Amino acid sequence: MADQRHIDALIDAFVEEQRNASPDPSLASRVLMAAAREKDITAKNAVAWERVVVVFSFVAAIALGIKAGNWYQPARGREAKETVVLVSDDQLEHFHFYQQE
Amino acid sequence: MIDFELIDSILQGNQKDFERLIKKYETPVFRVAIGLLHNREDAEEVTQDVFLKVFRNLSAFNRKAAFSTWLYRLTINTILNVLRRKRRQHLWTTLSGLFQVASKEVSAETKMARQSEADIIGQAIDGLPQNQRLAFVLTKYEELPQKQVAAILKTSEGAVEQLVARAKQNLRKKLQQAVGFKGASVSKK
Repeated sequence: MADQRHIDALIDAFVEEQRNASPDPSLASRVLMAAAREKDITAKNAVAWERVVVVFSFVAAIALGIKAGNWYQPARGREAKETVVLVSDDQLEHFHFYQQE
Repeated sequence: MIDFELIDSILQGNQKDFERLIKKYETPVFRVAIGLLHNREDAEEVTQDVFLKVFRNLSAFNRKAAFSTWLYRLTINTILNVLRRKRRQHLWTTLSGLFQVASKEVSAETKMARQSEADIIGQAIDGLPQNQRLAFVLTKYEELPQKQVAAILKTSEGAVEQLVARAKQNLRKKLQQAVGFKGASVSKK
């Protein structure tokens, strides 16, 4: 029983000694500095991400425009698509003959 | 200024109030850290880490429980992560650590014996099952009411009472079994 009391007293003394320890007084300022640094980095990252989003949106908009309207094609290309092919009478006759055959 | 007002002010960007919050809670956080880590440097690192986490996650605090309960839970999770990391990193030193304890027990002069006693008590606390250790540290080091300890550990008050009682019982048993411990304490008398 005496041993048990002695052990309890030792535990209490150990706990009390550790309880009395206090953190370094500069801890708060260190945390604040680290937090400010982190905030700064976060802000910089946010700006970088904003730029990435803007560039990506721009590229995506162009790509969608290309897909939807074909407006990128040069005027000559568009004309070429619509051009009526003129054929000579000989060619036409030949074509007609060929068809009849 | 109550905690919720402080938090609102911090969320609005008031740095002075964040400093006030740190000053208010740095010692309790540090005490829990030293109670579980038994090392001043590690405890300071954890305390710093905890407040950085508070800074990052304060907007996620849902105010269902007291701020201190949330903070203690954050502290415990951070410490348990540190302990897990340490265990992984220094698994190989376990054997040499045991050897060091054994050698300390052999040379038990007054100062060395005292150091050894502290080591043994620290190791005995470390050797408790996790829940018992947490309940013991929160109750003995922080002297928190059982209700709050129960909220932090997400258990009932009755369970906390049992955990603390078992922790004390286990500690006594471990310390009585520690070779040379009795001898060292008798020599101190």
